[in-house]
Amino acid sequence: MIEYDTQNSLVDILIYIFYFITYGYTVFVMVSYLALGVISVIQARKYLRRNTYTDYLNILQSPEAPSVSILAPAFNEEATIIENVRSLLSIRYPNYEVIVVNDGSRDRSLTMLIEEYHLEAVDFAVNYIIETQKVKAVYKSKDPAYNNLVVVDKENGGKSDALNAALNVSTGDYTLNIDVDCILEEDCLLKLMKPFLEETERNMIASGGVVRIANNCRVEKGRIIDVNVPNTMLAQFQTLEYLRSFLLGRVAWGSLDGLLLISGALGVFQKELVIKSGGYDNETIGEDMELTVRMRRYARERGIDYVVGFVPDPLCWTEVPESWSILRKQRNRWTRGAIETLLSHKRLFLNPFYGRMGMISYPYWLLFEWLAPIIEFMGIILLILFSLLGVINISFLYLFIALIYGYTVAFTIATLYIEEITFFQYKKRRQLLKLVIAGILEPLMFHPFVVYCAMTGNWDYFFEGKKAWGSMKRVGFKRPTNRGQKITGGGDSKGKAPNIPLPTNTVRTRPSKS
Amino acid sequence: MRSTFVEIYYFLLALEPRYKIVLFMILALLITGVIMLTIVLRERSRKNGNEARERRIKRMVESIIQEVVFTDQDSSELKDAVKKIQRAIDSPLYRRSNMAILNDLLLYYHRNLGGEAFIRIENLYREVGLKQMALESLRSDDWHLKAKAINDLSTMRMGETLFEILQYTDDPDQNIRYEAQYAAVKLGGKKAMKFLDDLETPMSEWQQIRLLDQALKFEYELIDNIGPWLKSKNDSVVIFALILMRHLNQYHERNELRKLLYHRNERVQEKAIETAIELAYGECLENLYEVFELTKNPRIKTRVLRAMGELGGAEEVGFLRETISSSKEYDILLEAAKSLKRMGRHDVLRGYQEKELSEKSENIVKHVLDDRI
Repeated sequence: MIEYDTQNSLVDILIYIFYFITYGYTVFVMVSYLALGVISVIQARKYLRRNTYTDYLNILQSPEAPSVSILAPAFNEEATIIENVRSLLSIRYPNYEVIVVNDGSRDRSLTMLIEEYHLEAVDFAVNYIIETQKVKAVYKSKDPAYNNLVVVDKENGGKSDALNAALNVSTGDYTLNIDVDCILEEDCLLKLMKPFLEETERNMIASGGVVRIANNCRVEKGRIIDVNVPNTMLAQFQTLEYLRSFLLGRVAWGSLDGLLLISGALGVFQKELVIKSGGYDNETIGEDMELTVRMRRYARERGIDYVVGFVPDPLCWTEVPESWSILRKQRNRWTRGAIETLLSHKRLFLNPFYGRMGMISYPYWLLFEWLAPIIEFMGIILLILFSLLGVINISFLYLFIALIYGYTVAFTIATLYIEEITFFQYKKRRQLLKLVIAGILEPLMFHPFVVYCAMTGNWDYFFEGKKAWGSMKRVGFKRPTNRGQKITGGGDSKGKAPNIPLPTNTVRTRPSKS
Repeated sequence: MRSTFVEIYYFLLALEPRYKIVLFMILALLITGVIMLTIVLRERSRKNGNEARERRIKRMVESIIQEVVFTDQDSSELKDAVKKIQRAIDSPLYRRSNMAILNDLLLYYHRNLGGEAFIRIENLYREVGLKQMALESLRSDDWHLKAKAINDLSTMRMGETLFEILQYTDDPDQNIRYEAQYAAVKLGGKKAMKFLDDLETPMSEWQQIRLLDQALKFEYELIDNIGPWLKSKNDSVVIFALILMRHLNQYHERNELRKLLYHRNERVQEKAIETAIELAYGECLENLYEVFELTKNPRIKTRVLRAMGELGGAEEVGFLRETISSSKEYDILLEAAKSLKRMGRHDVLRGYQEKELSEKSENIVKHVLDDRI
């Protein structure tokens, strides 16, 4: 190796800066993950202890249970829609309605719903409190057994538009927003509503729950009967990723009141506040995160003492992509969604007016969700460049990479341990073994791919101007599918209450599918 | 071999400090990873062992419990059964854990049975020492043990522990406090609800739902204390008192209810209107007109309109008709139209002249007249 005399030179300074950023950033990430992990364990234990004697039957029989509207947007879902609506109609909760929005599907989704649930169009006066695409008809069932089912048929306008249309026809005090192709636990609503009903000091505006992976699980009558680890390595990697994200990340952020994202797959919101803050934004592809951040901003800016909760129980099951190309599109989209939200709410950054959200959550998500892949990617490029030039100490670098790898694997094993002592979903030894092997391979195979997807997401957002949803083909739970949902996060002035209006919500039609 | 280790030792010794730190961290992570994996596997074996033990104990004691529960036994037979159960769960290492398994089993039976079987299970609970175990947990410093113990004692209807439990109804720990309040109502009935007289801490909606669940078992007994609760400074107590009034038809404090229609807390106002509707308290209609004028909260306005539909007469028909013609807010229009329908005045809804209503109001009237919605 050629040794350059770089003492006191510009290169020397640059290398020191490089070292500082790369190593410092890495150590910071590692320490913060560790801290979040510790907080999560404490919270999950507390939650489990409290639940050893919680009787949900009280609320199940109560005439005082608050009303909830389940909002389920559907677009070309004929493969799963009947089964999924049935699963929604069998949720255990005393006072709820299911609103399915057919968002201009080009398949037989609506016809199938009409036939299966004996629907007929009614004279429903839609309250366009949030502007949406035109509602063509509202259907109710002739069968009294389905009297809590409402089906809205509207012109295509995208997921946000469909959710807004559902909001317009909903009558509940709270809304449970879901992806129609997710499988919900029977007690999901009881458990999600509990934090709202338990809060006495502050106004709970939203609450999320843990989403788990349904690939290879046995599903019968819209319920998960047998939990399994997915068969493909790619889905196994995502299983670990979801475990880390929900079991460790979200639980900890929930307890710190720093959640910037309630997943679009599962989240309960206080309807009044959703409407007051403008509903879902049609301009963004990361509508779930954008709404959470906007609601928090709205509450803060109007002096509402609010809180966002999180339930550590696995309440919702979804399928993740099992093909690299679809995963790439999905991650690319998540990245663009996160960037959009972070940029449209940039005044939160280190703004003490917004409290923890501005001082901790937003900077954290900015640094570790949006910028992390960029920093990592740039670091790798510079490392290669510097090593070719022979200006960095390669042996130390190798050691440092080994340290990061070791940390990642150890952290994954710690996650599995936490899963083991808390919710214990993967009961067979073989399942555990599969996940440990996936954990050993993940940093080498999956992580670089995720970084690549995030980089292309950044590129597409800034240089290609892409803001559209990609195409997602759904084939139903009976066969392996390529369906996934978003697990990312994220959301200038100092100190004073802002006077800039929140981002406006204008209607836009979803671009045509490829 | 020894020389290799010595060489490695000197090699490590000669390294720069940063190398040493990183190497140490890698080694520590490696060891941590292996230890954690071992713990995971051990934890799994422990769980499997526990499950096997649980199955074994259940197999052994379930038949005895069933015999006690479903047959009429005298005291000596009961003593024999208790001895058998105690033998089954006796273990120098796992006694406490076995007791917990037995506890869960008895709780399960108690939840799913009724009548005479109830009392027999409760006796068994006392005799096998589970009540004693719960009382010991009650003196523990851990909030979750205390709360669980209170919950168990109330589920098993251990009325004799009521006075011990009552002292926790204003405990600083919310979990303990809520369990104690619930247990008090369950074990002591309406008299034990006296803790509401001077309750300073807020009661969550969840807690109110739980307490109501118990209170509904009082059926239509008169609750004398509702008056003071309606005047409480603690708004959650006022709300709960209104809920009780409504569900237990407590008419005697209707004058106090009239005052609460003007309460500073809008949640209380809302509940007061709902209660007035349930109690068919038509005398408060004139107050409701005032409330409608004074409030800016659309939720309160819609509740008032609903009350007019439920409690009103010919005078209110005019007001509701006028509201439909003049109001622009969807929720107000909808509720006014629904109220007319509730009063059976379909004729009024159908009788609007052409162009008398805006398109929005017309749609809402059609919506309300559609019985399928």
